[in-house]
Amino acid sequence: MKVPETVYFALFLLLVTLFFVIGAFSYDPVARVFPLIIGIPVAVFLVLQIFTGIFPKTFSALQRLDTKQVIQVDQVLMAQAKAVRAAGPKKGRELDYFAWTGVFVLAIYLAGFFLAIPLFLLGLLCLQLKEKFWLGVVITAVMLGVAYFGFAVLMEVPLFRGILFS
Amino acid sequence: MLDAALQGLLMAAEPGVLLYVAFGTVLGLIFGVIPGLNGPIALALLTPLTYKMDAASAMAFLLATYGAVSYGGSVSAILIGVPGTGENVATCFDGYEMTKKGEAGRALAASATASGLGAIVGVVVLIALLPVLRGIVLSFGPPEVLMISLWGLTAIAALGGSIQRGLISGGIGLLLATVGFEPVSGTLRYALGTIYLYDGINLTAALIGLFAVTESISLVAKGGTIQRPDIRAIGSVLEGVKDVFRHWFLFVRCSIIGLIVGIMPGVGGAVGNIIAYSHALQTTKGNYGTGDVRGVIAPESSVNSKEGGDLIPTIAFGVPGAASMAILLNAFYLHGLNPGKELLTTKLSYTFLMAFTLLVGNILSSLFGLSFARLLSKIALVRASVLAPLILVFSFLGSYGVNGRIGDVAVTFLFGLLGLWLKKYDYVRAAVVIGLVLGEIIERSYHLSIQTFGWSFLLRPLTLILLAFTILTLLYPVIWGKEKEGEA
Amino acid sequence: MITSHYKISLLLAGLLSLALTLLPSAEAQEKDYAFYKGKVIEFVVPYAVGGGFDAYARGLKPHLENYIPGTTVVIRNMTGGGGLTGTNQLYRSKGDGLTVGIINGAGMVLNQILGAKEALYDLNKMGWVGRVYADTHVLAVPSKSPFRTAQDLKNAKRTIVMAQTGKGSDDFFLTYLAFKALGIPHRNIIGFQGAPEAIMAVLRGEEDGFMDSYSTLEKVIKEGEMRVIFQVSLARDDPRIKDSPTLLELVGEDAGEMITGISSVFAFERPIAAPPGVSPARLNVLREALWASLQDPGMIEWSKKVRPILPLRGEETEKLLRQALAAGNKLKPLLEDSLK
Repeated sequence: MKVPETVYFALFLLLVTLFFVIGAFSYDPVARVFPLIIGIPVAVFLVLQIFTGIFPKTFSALQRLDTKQVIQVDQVLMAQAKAVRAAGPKKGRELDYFAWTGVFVLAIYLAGFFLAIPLFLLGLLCLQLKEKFWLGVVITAVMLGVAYFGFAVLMEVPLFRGILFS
Repeated sequence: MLDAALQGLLMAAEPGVLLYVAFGTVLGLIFGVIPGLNGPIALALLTPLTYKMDAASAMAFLLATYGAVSYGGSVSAILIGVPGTGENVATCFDGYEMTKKGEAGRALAASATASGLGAIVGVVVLIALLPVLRGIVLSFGPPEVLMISLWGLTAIAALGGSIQRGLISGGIGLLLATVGFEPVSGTLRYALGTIYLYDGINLTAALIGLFAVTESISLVAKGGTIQRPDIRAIGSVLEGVKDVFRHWFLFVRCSIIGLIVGIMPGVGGAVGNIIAYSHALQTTKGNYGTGDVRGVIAPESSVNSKEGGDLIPTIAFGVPGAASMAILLNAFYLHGLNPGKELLTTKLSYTFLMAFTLLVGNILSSLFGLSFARLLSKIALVRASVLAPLILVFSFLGSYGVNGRIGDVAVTFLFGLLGLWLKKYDYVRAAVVIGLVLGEIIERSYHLSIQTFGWSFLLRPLTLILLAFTILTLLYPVIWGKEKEGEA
Repeated sequence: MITSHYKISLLLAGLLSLALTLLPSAEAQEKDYAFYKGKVIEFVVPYAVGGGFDAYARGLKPHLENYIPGTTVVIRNMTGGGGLTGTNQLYRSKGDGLTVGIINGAGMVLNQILGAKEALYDLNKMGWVGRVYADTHVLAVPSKSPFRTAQDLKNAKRTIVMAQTGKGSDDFFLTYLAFKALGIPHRNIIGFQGAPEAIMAVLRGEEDGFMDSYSTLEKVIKEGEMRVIFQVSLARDDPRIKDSPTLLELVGEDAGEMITGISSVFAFERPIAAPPGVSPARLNVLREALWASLQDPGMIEWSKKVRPILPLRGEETEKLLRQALAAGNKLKPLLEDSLK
């Protein structure tokens, strides 16, 4: 019984939904209504999704009902999108870039925008994406300029300095 | 009334005033493009600048800016998939797909035309309704707001390939909307012990995460350019303009939806464009979600007519129809104008001035958009490895810039991750957004309806009509739908 | 020689001790303007851009920058929790004199009295810069309403229905306390997004009335859409509504203490606060600058057009706070009752 990845995600969503549903019981009756009315059906659907994922043949009738719709999704485009996805990313996995983004966010939190931005841009552009160094510097300079003028000066939002410095 | 109109027109046509309109338009566009900056913020920041201006110029400047902000937002929504303001959320859904298909120019043109003309429809209807303004405003109560929001919500079942996954996505959005203080009982829900979540999940931060961050990461992983590499064209600008006329009936319907949403108290712009999109989705046979130009026309037509709608309660009662109106009101007072009966009688010319300014401002920003459409769409041809990191930095800057809270940056990041998963496993991000946006207004109007009328609120005429629409649209695919061929 | 040395040191010691005793009063007058040169002052507004609190902050900004030379004032809107987020944040900010905020005095006093667990501040510990305004609160009904006086409300054959923005909001407590004082039962419809929505609902006839500050209702009243039935105050001091009976007049001396309590709390309405721990020298700068700003002709012009001001000095604002807390504490059992 091969468990497709979608089942794991559905399980994750189910946990989130149950968090809302169970949490709702500790609230005032008025505050409880909405989360329960939404949460319980969603949980049911997710359970269905999980079972459909694990036992596809048993639930095929449900599947067919599920995909009925009036909207004709452009089949040619759909096929093309699938082809692109199947061909695989050319420059690395999404997870890698997500990790970079995570580091960026951490850097913002620790060191503030003005240090995190050059770190992130130069790192990502030059190390991971193998762009030319001078291009990385130019882009970083432009971005810092925009950050400073656009936000700090124009909007008077002092950009976060990072917890290490404040 | 005619000479008031003439006077208003003359005031609007003065070169000094027109200059401010132009200036405001440019500023508004810039504000709109930056994610996280929206109409009210722009107005609040610019009001001090108007201290030295005369009343007509000040109004013209502010209204022009306000009108241009949402267009700026749609530019970034279409080109890079980042909704510049909450009002451009639905434009992302199909607009960005069009850019991927190489039709950025067409999308920008359609958006510019639809919003420009939408403003006209809004203004024309506003003027036509002047005598019955009061009555109209008074007929929209919580039950009607509830019904129209539910109607908009039904779209979640129709987007994407699977009804179930659409419903689940929408449901998750609705659940996420319950985080924070609940007003009727004063209960704090799901705040996980932080002060940050008192007000719930910040919509803009979540949007930026779900669209900008997710798309940029996908983009940089995919490589190449936003636009599919085998297409070199950027789509005909003229084609986009023609599209609006081709689908003129949809355009008119969505403009009216925008107007109605504007009149409704407490319903913001983010809701309006979603309802319009939802309506288009369910009433026309289109290829929504894959770059159907109607998916751009529908929300864009509603955005600017909504501004006309916002003005209505403001003018009729002096009660601000939207947050931005409250700021505008302050600006009005500052310049000695008193919105209310005065504007409908002795100072009617100022009302016309406002209407014309809104009109001219919108048309100007649309023209602006059209002229630069070709140029702007070249962005779609920039290398992903350069563009994506820039968008990422920009996104987090914008997310922080909204409220100056580092928590928003965390929200954007987490929603970026959520967005990646949703995309990968065939869930519908658009539905999550719809749930997140509509959640609060649905719950609030539901509780208000019950408290005020009890369950008989369902028997109000307008409510019944809207309810009927909602049920019909839900049942339509189940009863009359065709199976999608070739999809498992 | 030794003797004169001894005398000199005695004299010096005497002078020194004299100086030391005088120091405290010198400290009270000390103003550290030098510190503020080239600095940024953060002005926290716990509400959204465009609202009433925000308007005051933006109106004050240029004047504060003027009266504290060398500074830039940056406005930070920190919305959430009906003002709690911003107020909590303000309380937790550094007490270096570079952060101030305008808070919903009445609401925050009530929260503290009730011991709301989301209220993570202690108003007693904060620094008080001054007050910009305190409004008179009224009960407004549609002009077409059959109710003209409080007596009409009492004689009504059905329960009066009142609109409110949220459970635990200012208008919520105001309505409860006022109606309690008058002995009129009422039913609430709670949940409007803001005052404008509540007002519209009343105009639609869904509720009988709405209570809020006069300024919020002024527009609709001037338009002739609504009228005032009574005001929550001890005397008809407010020239704009001198024709409306006060709650004290209506109820009489028996409920005098309750009404005094309500009035004290709401007299604290829009104060400007600083986080705990600001040095007296810097607090004095802020106080002086705020007071000067509120007297500035430009600000007075602004206040005539945009929002009215009713200035109060820092020291008096602090006194007002203590009064409000004391009076509010007496109301505590009633307040707790209302939330059940």
